[in-house]
Amino acid sequence: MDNLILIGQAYQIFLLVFMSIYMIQHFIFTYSRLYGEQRNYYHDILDTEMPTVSVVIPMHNEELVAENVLERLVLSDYPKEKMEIIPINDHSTDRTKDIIDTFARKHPGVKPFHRLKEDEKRGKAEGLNDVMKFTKGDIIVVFDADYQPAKEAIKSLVMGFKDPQVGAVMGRVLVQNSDSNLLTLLLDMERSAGYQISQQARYNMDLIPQYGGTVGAYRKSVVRQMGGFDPKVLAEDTDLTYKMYLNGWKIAYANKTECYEQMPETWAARARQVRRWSRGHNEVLFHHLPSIFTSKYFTLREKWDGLLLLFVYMMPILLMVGIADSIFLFFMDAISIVTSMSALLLIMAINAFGNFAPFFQITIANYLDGRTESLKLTPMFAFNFVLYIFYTSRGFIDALIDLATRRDVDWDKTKRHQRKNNAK
Amino acid sequence: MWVDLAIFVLVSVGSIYFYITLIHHNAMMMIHEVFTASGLHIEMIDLDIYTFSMSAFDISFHYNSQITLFYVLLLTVGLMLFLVYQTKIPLNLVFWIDFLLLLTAIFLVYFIFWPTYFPYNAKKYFELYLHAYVGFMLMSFIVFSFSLALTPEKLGKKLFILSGVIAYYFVYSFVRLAATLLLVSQVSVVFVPLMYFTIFYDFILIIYIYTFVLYKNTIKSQGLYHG
Repeated sequence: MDNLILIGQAYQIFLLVFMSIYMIQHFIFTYSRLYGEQRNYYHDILDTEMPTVSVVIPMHNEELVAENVLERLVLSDYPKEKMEIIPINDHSTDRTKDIIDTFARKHPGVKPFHRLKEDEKRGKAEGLNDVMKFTKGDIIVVFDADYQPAKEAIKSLVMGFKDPQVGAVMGRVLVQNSDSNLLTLLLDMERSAGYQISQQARYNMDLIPQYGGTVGAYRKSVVRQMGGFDPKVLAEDTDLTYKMYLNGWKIAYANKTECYEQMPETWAARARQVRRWSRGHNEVLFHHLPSIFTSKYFTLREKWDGLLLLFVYMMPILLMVGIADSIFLFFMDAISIVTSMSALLLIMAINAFGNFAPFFQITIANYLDGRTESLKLTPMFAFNFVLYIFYTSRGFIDALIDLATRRDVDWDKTKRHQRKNNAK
Repeated sequence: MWVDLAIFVLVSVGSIYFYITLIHHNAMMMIHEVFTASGLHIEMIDLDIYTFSMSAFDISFHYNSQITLFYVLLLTVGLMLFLVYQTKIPLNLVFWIDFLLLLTAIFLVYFIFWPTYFPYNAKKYFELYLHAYVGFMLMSFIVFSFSLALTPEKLGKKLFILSGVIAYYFVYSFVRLAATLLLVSQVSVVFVPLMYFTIFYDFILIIYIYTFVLYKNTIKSQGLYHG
């Protein structure tokens, strides 16, 4: 029993140190965004020599939003002769096929790609791999079907590839349905913290801005050379991020290239989304962890940030174990002076991981975005904490089972809602 | 920003020192006088908190019968299940409340089956409680100091807000301690772990104050600043 108590106490100290590192990291990010030197994206480059581009939109049962995204894309200011738009109909069983075929008849630049064979596996990674075999574009730009890109978005994203080190580019995601209910408003604030601060600060500090799988672009040749997307990995975007850095490429972040997406409107849908993200992210952790240590391309600071980024979805399960451990120590009368502060871990947890960003980061991000009324809602994030750690932990367990069984992963798509078009 | 931060951290640490060495003892004396005037004769005990001497009361915990605890456990589990299956309360709140109920259920099970193994008396418990609470206050003030230092606002105003938060926490700490004394001595020993493990919830107040400050600031600067 004494050994068990000793392990329990050591675990509390380990967790305290680990959580503190994340807290300090987020403080540095927020500081960098407020007071540090800002690294500008390539918006100011004026160049008429643009590369050929294939804009792909993976779709599975997207009848509510398919036409909206295509309407926005045909309005793009990117040279028409250098751009093709490819909606991927991935085994849709609703009206998606009819909608995109009808749209394509009216717009010659739109070339639908139907994945309907019974022996084909449905999935975003599979669709993106298939489309790379015949697309003409040197650059692939990806939008999810519920996105509403502004007309300058494609040009802005593609401009990043003028830098020969850049293998992928990521734009900023805004929440389209933030006015639907309290949940979507909170998600809008959370997204703001992620993009306005974490992504931009990572870009400022030469760390690892994440490729997010949508409102993003990558060099086709590079991704093909790396073997394409792994269909066994649910988070093909995070996987690509690490593959890029492991192969010596960089990711650029375009904070002003904004695009709207729909967020879940119910807590149950949000919980499933968090679980899916956690599962995908942890799969990437299991895949790439050893390579980060040995890679010759990662700088020291990229290694550090890459590891922290990989472990972020593992923290909730460590926290759950930490809570159970502190109860055990309490009843064993073994909460010493250091570990008597173990309950305080939860303060940090509430601020650092329940919502994937500390409260001050969320608040400052929304301050930078000029939001006023919604700022007062920040304390509400504390009430999401338990739900998030529970579902993120379930995602971690899913990923462990994936690792053990090498089972196929299925894409659980977030439910769409038909809404008015409010993009810029 | 760094000067602001240094000042805030100094104020935070200084105030905690002031709390441990002076404020807490005086407040305990006042509570003791109130108890005595009410005919309750409770001895005061000295505690060793981070090498400083602090005081509390030598109370005995109220142990309920096992059957009573069992009924409360049934009620707690029933409430947890009801929350899971109802559809009116949002899922995030359901998880939050169920987490508290789960903690309660664990503590109830412990006191139903192993009450004789409970290792705490008043001295040991309040030593643990005050360690945690003083640590909680210090940590809260420091986290708040860092957040406040980041905020684009005048130093004087930020200092005023920090002082207000510290003053509030000091007063609230005695209200909470008095409530803990009453609950564990008059209602149930189950509140002993419960009051310890719920200390962190008080931090939500800090978040609210901080966001309110920024909210006011944003209103003032709206249209002038864009990141």
